[in-house]
Amino acid sequence: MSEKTMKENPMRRKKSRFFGLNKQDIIKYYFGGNAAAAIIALVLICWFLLSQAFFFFPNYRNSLQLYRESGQEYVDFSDDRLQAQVKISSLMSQVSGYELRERIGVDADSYAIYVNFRGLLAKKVKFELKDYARAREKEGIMEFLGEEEQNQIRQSIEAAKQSLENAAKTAAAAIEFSDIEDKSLQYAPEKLEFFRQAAVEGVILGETPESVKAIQAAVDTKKQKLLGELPVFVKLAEAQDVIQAPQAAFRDFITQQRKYALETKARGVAFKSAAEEKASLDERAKSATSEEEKKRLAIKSVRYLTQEPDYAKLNAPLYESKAQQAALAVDLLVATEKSVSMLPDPSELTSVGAKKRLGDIKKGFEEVEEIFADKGNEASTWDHTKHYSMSEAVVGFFFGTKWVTNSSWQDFYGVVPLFLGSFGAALVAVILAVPFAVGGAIYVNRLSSPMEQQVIKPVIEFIQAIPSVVLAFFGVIVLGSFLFKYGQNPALAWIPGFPIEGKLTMLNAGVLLALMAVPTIFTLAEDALNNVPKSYQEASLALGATKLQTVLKVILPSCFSGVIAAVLLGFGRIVGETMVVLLVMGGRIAIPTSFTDPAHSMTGILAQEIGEVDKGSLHWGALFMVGLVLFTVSLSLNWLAQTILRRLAKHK
Amino acid sequence: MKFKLVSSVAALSAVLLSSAVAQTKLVVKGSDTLGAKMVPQLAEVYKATGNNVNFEIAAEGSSTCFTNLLAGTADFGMSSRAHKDSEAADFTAAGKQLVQHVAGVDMIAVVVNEANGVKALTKDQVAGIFTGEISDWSEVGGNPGKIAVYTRNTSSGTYKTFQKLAMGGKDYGSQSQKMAGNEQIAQGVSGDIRGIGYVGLAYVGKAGTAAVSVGGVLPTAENAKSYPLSRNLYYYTDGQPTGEVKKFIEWSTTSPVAAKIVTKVGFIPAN
Repeated sequence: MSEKTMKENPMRRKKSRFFGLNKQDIIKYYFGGNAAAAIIALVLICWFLLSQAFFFFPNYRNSLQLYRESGQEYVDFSDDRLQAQVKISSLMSQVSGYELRERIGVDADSYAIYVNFRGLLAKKVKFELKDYARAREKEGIMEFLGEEEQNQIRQSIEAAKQSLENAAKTAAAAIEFSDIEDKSLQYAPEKLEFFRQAAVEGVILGETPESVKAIQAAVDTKKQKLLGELPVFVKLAEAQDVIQAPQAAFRDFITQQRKYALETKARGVAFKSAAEEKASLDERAKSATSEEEKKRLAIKSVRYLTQEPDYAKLNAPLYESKAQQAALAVDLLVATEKSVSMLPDPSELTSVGAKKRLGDIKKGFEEVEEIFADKGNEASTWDHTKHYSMSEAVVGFFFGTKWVTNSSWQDFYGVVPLFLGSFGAALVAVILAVPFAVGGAIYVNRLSSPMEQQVIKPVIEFIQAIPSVVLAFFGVIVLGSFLFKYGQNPALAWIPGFPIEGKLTMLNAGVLLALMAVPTIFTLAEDALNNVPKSYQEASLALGATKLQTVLKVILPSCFSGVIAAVLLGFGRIVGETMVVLLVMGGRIAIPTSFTDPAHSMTGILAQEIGEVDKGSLHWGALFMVGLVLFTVSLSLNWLAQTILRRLAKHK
Repeated sequence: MKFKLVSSVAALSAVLLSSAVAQTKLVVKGSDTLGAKMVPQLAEVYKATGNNVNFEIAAEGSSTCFTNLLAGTADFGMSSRAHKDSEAADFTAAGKQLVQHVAGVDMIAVVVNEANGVKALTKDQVAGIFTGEISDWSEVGGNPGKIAVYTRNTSSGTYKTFQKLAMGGKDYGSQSQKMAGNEQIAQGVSGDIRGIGYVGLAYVGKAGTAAVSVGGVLPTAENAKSYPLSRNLYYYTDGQPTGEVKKFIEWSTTSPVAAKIVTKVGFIPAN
């Protein structure tokens, strides 16, 4: 049927057309267009990330090349050795400190206990304290007033003080040692009354009472006596003297070298920026329209001094110092070895912490020897002209353990600490969330009554509605203190990472993230359970299996890959979460050693630093690279989950 | 009727004109340390004491003080650091002269938890703690425990100043925790017996924290000169100040009322 006849057909209703499309077509293309828009948006985002991050590696390579050319690399070879050696000497002072603490006994903590008691008490009597302070405000103007008014003021102060004292005494009687948040403090139980009394005095006086000062003084005397007389401390002090003796010379040497390197770097940076400016002027001159403009730009371009710094000449003092550097390093190592051999035997120590650190010194010394050999070798063969390869820069980003930005020395962009922070918190979250979410899904789907179903499902899904920043506040204020308080319980000390040392930790973030992962995993796992054909259950029950046997042995295995996909999607959901990890994880950019350490995350660093960087700078590129890594991780998690789900669908 | 309209228009324009003539506008640009509280409050009181001046204050960082003065887009600038040689050279090259006036003194206090027995540190110890060389309280005479270092984040000016004043320009240790502001640092330290951090003078004395003496000197107003971590705050002008600028700078650096305001916002008056 031709178009014409169609139109003329009186039986057909006339259709309005728009750009030659009828209503059905418009609706079809509208939905098609929406789908296409989603794909285009995804492609655009990928393109945007790639284009911003593209120049990062070449730029990073250039930056590291300058780090080498300017001699900073050479200085860091020396600095690394000094740092390694200082670590040993600092462990020695720790051995001494821990041992001293042990020998002094519980009195060492009395000041801290007193402050804690006073703080607890001040909170309980805060209204009385305020009244007392208000009454005392008038003391200042007393001299201007008459006799009678002065008396009145005195009386009101006295009354306020009396009521404060009474309130404090009653409140103090309720304070126990167990109220102290920091469980690492030691105390003698029989001293409870003493501390209560001291807290009352401290609150009223507003300063440390004499009784506490006396204990402090006694502790100090004991300390001095122990340090001067006990052979173990004398030995430690002698060892410390030996190890610290050559440090100053080496430190001065490095300080001197740093100056040279920084100056060379400043010149190198100035040259690079001038050269870039010149190149851009030349570029503009080429495309300039008028002759006059061309001339003007050319003159401007000539004005830029683009003489490349003579690195060989600038680095001459560093090359000349190679022998001195090696000699100083030998001194340092010899002193370290001698000092380690002077240390007391572990059997002379009583403190567990001191013994542990003594062992660390022995282990650490081997590492120091290695570092001295490696870095000494690198320093002696160091050559500022050696090319810094692109692959080194790439490896430096993906496997670098240092993320140092805004440095006055050299920026390093190594993603490992951030990656581990993100990954660690998400892992903690998933481990915590899976039993709850999957267990909940099984219960709701197979075991519960319809009534329970109607309550539990919406409640779990409701958790998703809590804004993440609200959860983060909860983590900072409530959960952090809670975990800190109970995480110091000695009964938990067998778990690696316990006792917890701070409030803002990966564990804290992980618990909150688990809360966010539960609804995702729960919903998807329940879907997977729903997809198991009814005949499976019927067959199993007909064979005489109990309900529980059916669920665990028949239903769950047949939808196992669906549950795995749910877990992966839950994981993907929380790896990208920002607010919680930014506020709750503690913001420490170092490789976490346990899951109770503070850490930083990829999402957190993006949120924190993107606002302060110049567009197009190296730091900017690094952040976009982090974004790209994050994007790749999420994308691959999603892809993996979907592949698993597809397989599951095929099997059916 | 017509007369009324004309007269009212005339009266209105007269009012507008007179106010435009009498009221001078001072454009102030530069540091946010000064521009956040101190200068706005000084300006407020200066106006209230009968000076018909309008202030336009933009606090976007100390560097903008010099760029704006050079471009002539500010009447005077504020800076929390002294000028660099290159900045002075720019002025000379443009045939101008950069003049410095001390506006006040700020101190960066090192704070620890109140329950920490350590109440004094040497400057080297402070540097060691923040660079990560010293990692345990037992190394500085305290009760054993791992030191938790709280610092400002990298965008902060105090972060840089502290690095320069206390750490000899070395980088912060990787174990330090970066906090958003003074308040967060104070909170972190007050909740952590092993914590240490630094805050502006205005935040000293927050419950649960105590300032330590650095090199034997406590960060108090009397010790402004001898405290190792104190820095001057400056006003800058292009050439010797004249007119209303001169009057304001003189008033804010010499009058006792201004000194009181400067003290109230947590700094130390210039003299």
